[in-house]
Amino acid sequence: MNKYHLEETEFTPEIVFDPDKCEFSFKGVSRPEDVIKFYEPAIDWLKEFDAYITTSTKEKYNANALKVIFHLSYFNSSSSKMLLQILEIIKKIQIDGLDISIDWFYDENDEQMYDDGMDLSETIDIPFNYYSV
Amino acid sequence: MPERETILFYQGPFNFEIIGHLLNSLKDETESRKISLPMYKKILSVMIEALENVFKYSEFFENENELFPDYYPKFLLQGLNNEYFVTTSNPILNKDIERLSEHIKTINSLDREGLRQMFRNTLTNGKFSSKGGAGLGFIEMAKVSGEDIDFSFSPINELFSYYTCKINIAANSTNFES
Repeated sequence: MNKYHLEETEFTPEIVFDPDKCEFSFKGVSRPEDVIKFYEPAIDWLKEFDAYITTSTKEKYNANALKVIFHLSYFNSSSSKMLLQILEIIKKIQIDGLDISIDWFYDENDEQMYDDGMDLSETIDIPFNYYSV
Repeated sequence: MPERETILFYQGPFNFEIIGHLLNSLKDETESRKISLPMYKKILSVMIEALENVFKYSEFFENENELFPDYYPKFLLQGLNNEYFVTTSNPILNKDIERLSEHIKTINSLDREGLRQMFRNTLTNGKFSSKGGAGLGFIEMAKVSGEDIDFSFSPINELFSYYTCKINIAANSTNFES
């Protein structure tokens, strides 16, 4: 599948889904004017990726676990709902057979961002790895 | 008694650009006042949720010309020592007052763990409103503030009231403040 790449803006994060590198990442700020419209294409891409998982692709991706990286400096509450939808698809990808690790980066002293990661992790019931940077 | 200092004030029509402008002004003020990162993030969270609440609700009154300029939405950020106060005011349909009051009262009745639970439940089960609101804004503000949300309504006419919402942000408002 082709890579998905969205540039960062003042209000929206950089989103990169790179199947060849086995790495999906979200970086920056998230408070889009229309949160549903902003995240819909990324969600569609992930659903397509999930449908694309077959025995042969499983072998390819499981050679290196698929890494999902969140390094957000801020996201508003409506974005958290979209992030949960994204995590639901990632969970489905995991159930469908891919090894996945989720890394949650937060700036040193930004305990609120750590807390937000805990909220999402516990809601979706997948453990995150936390890194203070 | 020492008086609160006004840090930011805006009254007028609300849109996405105005919110961006106010958030940039907060960043400038944070630098010049040397506000700590944890406090800046708390103010930022509360400000964004409060401003987006006003913005998302504003479609219900944007064509009600008789409300303006007197009842244009307002935003105020004040500070005193290491405590900050966010106040927003905007017209609200009288028919929405009860629903909003009940929502805030429920939030005010919860402790930190209760708020966390409500946040997670709403995250999982809540539906987006037509304007893209997720029903999480007040819960998020209460989580950050750690204090009750103060709210009041002052009647404008038979259709509208002017709604004011106040949130305090103290340095020790969460367990994590360094």
